[in-house]
Amino acid sequence: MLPAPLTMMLAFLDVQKWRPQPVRRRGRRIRLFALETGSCEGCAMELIALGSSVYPLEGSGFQRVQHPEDADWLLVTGAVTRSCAGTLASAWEAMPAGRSLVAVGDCAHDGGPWKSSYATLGGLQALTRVYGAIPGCPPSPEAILQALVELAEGGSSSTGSQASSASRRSRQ
Amino acid sequence: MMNGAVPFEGERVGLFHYRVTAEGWQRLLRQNARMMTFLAFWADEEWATALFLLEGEQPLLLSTAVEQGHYQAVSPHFPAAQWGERIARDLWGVEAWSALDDSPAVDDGSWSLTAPLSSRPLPVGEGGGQPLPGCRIEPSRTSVPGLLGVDYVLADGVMQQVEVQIAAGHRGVLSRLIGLTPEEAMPLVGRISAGGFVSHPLAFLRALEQAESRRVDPKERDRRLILLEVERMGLHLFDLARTAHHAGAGLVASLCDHAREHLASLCAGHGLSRRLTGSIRLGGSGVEAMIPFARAVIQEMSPRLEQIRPLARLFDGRLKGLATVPTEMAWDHALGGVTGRASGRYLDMRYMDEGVRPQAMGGAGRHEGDAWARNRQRLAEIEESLRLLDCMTADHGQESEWQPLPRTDEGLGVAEGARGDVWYHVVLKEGRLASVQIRDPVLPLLAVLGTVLEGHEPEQLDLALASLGLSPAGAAL
Repeated sequence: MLPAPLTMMLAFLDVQKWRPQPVRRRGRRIRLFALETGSCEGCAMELIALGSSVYPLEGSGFQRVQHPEDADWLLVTGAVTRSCAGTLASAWEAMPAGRSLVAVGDCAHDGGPWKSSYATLGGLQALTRVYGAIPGCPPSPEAILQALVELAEGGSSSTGSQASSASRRSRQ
Repeated sequence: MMNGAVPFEGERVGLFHYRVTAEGWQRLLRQNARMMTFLAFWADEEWATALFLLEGEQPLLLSTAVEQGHYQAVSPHFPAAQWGERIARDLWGVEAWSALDDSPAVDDGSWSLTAPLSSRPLPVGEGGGQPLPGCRIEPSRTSVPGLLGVDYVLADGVMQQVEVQIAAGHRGVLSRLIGLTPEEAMPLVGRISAGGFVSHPLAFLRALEQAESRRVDPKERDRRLILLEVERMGLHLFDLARTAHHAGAGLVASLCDHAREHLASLCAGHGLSRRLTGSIRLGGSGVEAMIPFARAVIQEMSPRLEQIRPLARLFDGRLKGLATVPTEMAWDHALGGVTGRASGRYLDMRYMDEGVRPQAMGGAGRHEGDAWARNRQRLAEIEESLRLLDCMTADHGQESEWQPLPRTDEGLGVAEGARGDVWYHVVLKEGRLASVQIRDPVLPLLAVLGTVLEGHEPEQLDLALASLGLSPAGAAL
């Protein structure tokens, strides 16, 4: 077995080597606040993966924040349970002007398999206008990042990927 | 644990299922409280049912009639039953006499119906139902991917009287499943928990196959076993990464994250979905070439594991003594998966799987019960999964013994997922799901979570939850 400092150095070099190239885009840094609203947790786990060192989220001009007060975009995962409706509204209200709402995954968009019921409201589509919807069950971190970049650049898409179908709608 | 022979008078209604009178139910619970391993409890409007494990890991389902909306509680004898009792009360409106806890578990007053699965659900009036007490940490603000509210009293700088809530994540899973055909139900079952994109549908499928007395082709059986091990590796890497991240071990977190994403790309490169969603299907095998896939996983993941293991030791000190689950607690509450096996409860339902390769298993298991032991356990289990994959590539599709069972239209299926044993109980009527009950491994963990977290500083909460691999979606349903 290699001595610990050497092992650590080699691992560090590997992580550096694997570090992905950021996606260059125009415009200011966009601050993201993620909110889970009732799902299998798959999309929330993909957002966690997106925030890891595997994906160049920060290098591509985005920043995860811990409070909606600091956020430009609200990334929603989950079918919006009735229990979470108030939390969603509060987070939205707390965001500064120029805010945008992005549905991440099929559940957040239209409820996915969890349509409106005694417990769920069936996704954002039925509730409000969204700036963008990123399809997938769950969408991969690459697809989410690609879609975020496209939305940041005004909805233009240069790829034929799943992410390119991220739809741009309205902004408040 | 009591012997395989069932020492009571009861009407046998299924392969492992007995019905007893209310008196018999009480007597059995009282007499066998220390002799049977309790796994799960559920109830609907007609029957209250407890699932036990007998010697040799043979399951036993015990039911008693719910009379005028009431039955005698199981929780005074088996405290792990309390979440099941609370959920049954919320969904069906049935109440347990002498229950340890009768507070709502999933109905937080936001629903449009009260007792939505009962034959006479009541619409909730304007203004909603009775809300749950607020939490110090709201469900969407804890560090777990799902919705888990945590409340506590801060005393001398540490958390005391810790309570957890999962209601915010309730989606009405059972209400959607009941009445569907198995084909219609499968896509929903596959989306119940990201902690079980393979294990949940596999347990469901096994329950269906038992109900219909169907035998699975050995190649398809091995295909499923391979997928189960690959899912285990991915989720263990996720939990290791989250634990390392919250412990301030960024390099280890990065290595685990890279390994997990590489595993996802291997899945995608072999015709599967990245996280194996939709990979368990009714009615048989897909087109994927499983042997090249399994070989690629072994070849690519082994060196990464070699790299992670020594580095993971460097932050051992930050995990020792954290969120300890004592051995007795693990047994009393039937804690499974990594949490159980790191606490001296070495049960692994994979040993009961048809086609299991026991020669590749074993050796894993600790007793310390803390975050450090769970990390060690995860690393050992990834290694074990690689050995299992190796074994399965060598004798893929080998025949195994199978005892034909009569068709009963009732089935009990289990799959040992990354976070523990997932159980499904299904009853079919005219080809549709007349009843379905789900036991996710997070359910017993919820019953002890408050106790495990007590005495820790609030700053340690994220690390403690990450080390427990908590995923509330499987219980909130």
